[in-house]
Amino acid sequence: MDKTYANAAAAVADMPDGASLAMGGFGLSGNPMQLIDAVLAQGATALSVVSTTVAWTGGGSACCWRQHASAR
Amino acid sequence: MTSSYVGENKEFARRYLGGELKLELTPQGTLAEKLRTGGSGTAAFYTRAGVGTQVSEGGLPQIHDADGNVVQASKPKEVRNFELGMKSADFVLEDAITTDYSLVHAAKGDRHGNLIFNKAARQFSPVAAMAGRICIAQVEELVEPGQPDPDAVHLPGVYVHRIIEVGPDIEKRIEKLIVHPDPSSTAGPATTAKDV
Repeated sequence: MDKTYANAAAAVADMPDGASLAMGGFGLSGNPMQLIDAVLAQGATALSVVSTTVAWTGGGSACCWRQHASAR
Repeated sequence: MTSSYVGENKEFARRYLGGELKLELTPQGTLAEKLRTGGSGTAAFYTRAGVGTQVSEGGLPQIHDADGNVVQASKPKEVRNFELGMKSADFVLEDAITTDYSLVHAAKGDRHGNLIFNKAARQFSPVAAMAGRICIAQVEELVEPGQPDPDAVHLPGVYVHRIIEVGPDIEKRIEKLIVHPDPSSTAGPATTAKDV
């Protein structure tokens, strides 16, 4: 089964408000930055995020906090 | 937000202390096992991590009001005595985590979603991927099924539902850049470090 999507925007297009997300990576290593950027651009709000590190203010899962408040 | 470490993010601290978001602070190994347990279809597990602290006894601040007062704290968890390794000890019951989605980065993946991670970038990725009902993986190199050595696959494609290729030229930030000392130089410190 081919699971490929054309790009990050297409892969996160159906994410609704209030969705819960688990993130891989540790600190600034192994973060899915392009997917996180796509989620921010897609605009889903009130996301509930599970991530070992709230990296730093400029990147990692932390960048979600610029636009989203956690519901969980 | 469920996390094990939030210490270096001023914006997160501002929002957490200002009541804009809820935090569930979790010991790191417990967080990894919560995700793995959820991804494996098991509901909960007992661990010694956190016994005798606010993790098991409750009281960890989770939500503040706008003035920084704690309005919701964590609840006490069930503690049970087990004999393990010929020793009797208390263990705290921790619930599994499952999520609607999981997002992971991998060095290589095939079209079926079999993933290979690079060194420390594997941290938390397999367990996060397992816990998501829809796992989306971004890979630096997309290859054809059968191309990766099956023994080299870190996460089987059964856990991965969507995969995109982002290429190798993405920005990879370094928290503290340490430069190897120049052996011919006699001046200055052996290493320099700067924040990025």
